[in-house]
Amino acid sequence: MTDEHWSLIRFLREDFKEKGETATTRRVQAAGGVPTKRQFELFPKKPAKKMAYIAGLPKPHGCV
Amino acid sequence: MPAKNNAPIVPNFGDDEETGRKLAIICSKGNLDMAYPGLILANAALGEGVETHIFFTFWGFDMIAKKRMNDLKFSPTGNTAMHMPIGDVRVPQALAPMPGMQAVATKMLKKQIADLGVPEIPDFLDQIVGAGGHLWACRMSADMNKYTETDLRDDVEGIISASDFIEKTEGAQLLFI
Repeated sequence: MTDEHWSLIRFLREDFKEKGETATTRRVQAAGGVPTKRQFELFPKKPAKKMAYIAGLPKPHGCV
Repeated sequence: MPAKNNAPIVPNFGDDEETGRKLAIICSKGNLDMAYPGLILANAALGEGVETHIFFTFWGFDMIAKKRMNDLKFSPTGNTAMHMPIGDVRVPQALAPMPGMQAVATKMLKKQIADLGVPEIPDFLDQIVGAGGHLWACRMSADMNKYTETDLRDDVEGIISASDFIEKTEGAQLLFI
């Protein structure tokens, strides 16, 4: 995993601390600044699940 | 002596299994409320690594036509399930066609959807395409509306006929909305 991967994981953890729930794909794009397309490139097929697992967070509950 | 634990530490995300699951969603409605279910499911399927195709036909064309996609409306007419936010009272059908009701209902719906963090239809479709979704347009509806590729979103992959659609969705799960 590269720095880019880790910066996403860090974002997820920070956001979870703030919001109390795991960021959805859309939130990672809007608040985290990483476009959906790139998320799918970095964590193929199931980015939301994979990132949440690596970050040690529950999988996101939101629909978008 | 503790027993040797052979369980894998990393869970299996199912990446290597080519289940080949395919989902095709036919979006045939042009009202704002019915534009969402297909897209929400498509987005969820893509997030689970399922190959997803969305086929826009009939009124669903409004969701991908450049001139109409920012302007989808909603009316309580014919929707007996629409309830007022105050109390749980249904909107009486007699009130539904009154002037201004459509605008009020559309505005209310848009606000409820935005409050949930769900994007507007054009942005939502951007996200779906970014996640690897495929968008297709119906040949017959294009002919009916006299539309060509230039009238539609740039990321619509093509205008195809019903038989093309049947070919493309071989082995796929179909959803008609």
